[in-house]
Amino acid sequence: MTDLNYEATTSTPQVDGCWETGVLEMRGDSYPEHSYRFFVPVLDWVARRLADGEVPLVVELHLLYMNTSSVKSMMDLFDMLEEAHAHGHPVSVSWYYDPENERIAELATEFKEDYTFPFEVLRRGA
Amino acid sequence: MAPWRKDEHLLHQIATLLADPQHDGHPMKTALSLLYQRFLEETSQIERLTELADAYQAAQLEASEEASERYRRQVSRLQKVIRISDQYQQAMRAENATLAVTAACDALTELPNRRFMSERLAAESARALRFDKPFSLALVDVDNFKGINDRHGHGVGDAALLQTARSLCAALRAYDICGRWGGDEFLVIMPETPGPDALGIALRLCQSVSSPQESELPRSIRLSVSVGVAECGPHSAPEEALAEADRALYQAKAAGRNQAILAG
Repeated sequence: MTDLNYEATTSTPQVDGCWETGVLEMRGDSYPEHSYRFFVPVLDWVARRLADGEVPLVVELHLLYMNTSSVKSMMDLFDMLEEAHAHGHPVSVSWYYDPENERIAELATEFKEDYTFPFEVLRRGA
Repeated sequence: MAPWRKDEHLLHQIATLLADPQHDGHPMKTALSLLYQRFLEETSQIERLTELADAYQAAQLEASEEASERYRRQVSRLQKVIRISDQYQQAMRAENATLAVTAACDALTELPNRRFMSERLAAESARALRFDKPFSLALVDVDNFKGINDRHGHGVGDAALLQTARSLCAALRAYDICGRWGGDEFLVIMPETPGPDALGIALRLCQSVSSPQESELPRSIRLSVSVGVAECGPHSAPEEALAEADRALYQAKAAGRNQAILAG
């Protein structure tokens, strides 16, 4: 199947999904005007990757600012991971933050609190 | 684009639900309303409505066991989205405020920079017109600054500018605004102040800079400034007043420095 590659823009993050390794990476700001158009292909890719075999899905996030619809889309993504986890599919999230931006760590932790799959909030460069 | 039509219809239904006072105080309505407002603020074209669709359906469900469980989940999920995005917005606002201060500030003197002063000048000019009252401005130039730089180096030149900035601010009234206009030149805006009064302030500026004070500068340096003052009438262009102040400043320099001259 195919990899996912989006270049970053001023309002959307860079997205790289590697089909073979199951690693999905997102970095940058996310406040697209057309959030649906942006996130649906990403969520579709994740759904297809989860449905196809036992390759662990590893999500690595280096996200900064997000608008409301991006927050919601990320929760949709995590919901999918939670469901896969409940069915025994190995999934994990690592959310990296810059030591100069501790608030991102607080926000990532807030996202994390409802989920039971492995979800780490990691200080970059630590 | 056909797929969005359904959402537009849904949007109308949600707007109708939100407008109905019968559901006021309902937690789902409150959450839905906040989210709906967010989308209006953030997106020019509302397209991301699947969550709103679920929420709306949940709000419409009959109160069965299953429905109320699903309903509770929906409300708490919506509240979480709003809570997190509130925090993001606060973080963003704090960062923007810092950026705005940095963008308006001169790095050396920490006074407002030229860009900020230009905006203030335009604003003051608009205010003068609105209230039909003049204001004044003063261009302040450090005397022999080039000589200080050449003889003692840029480090001492910077210290001289910093000391001048402090002396100017100490002599101004609380509502006057002083900024670094460029190089060794400062601009002072004096709101609702006619020319002769502004000249009085400008003389105070000269005195404040040249009076003996605790200083990091070499003893051989005696700081002074020359000042050109101009009144800007309610119907005059601020650029014109700036040009007049510049001519007056030139006269003050030519007349021996360490003095202020009122244009016209």
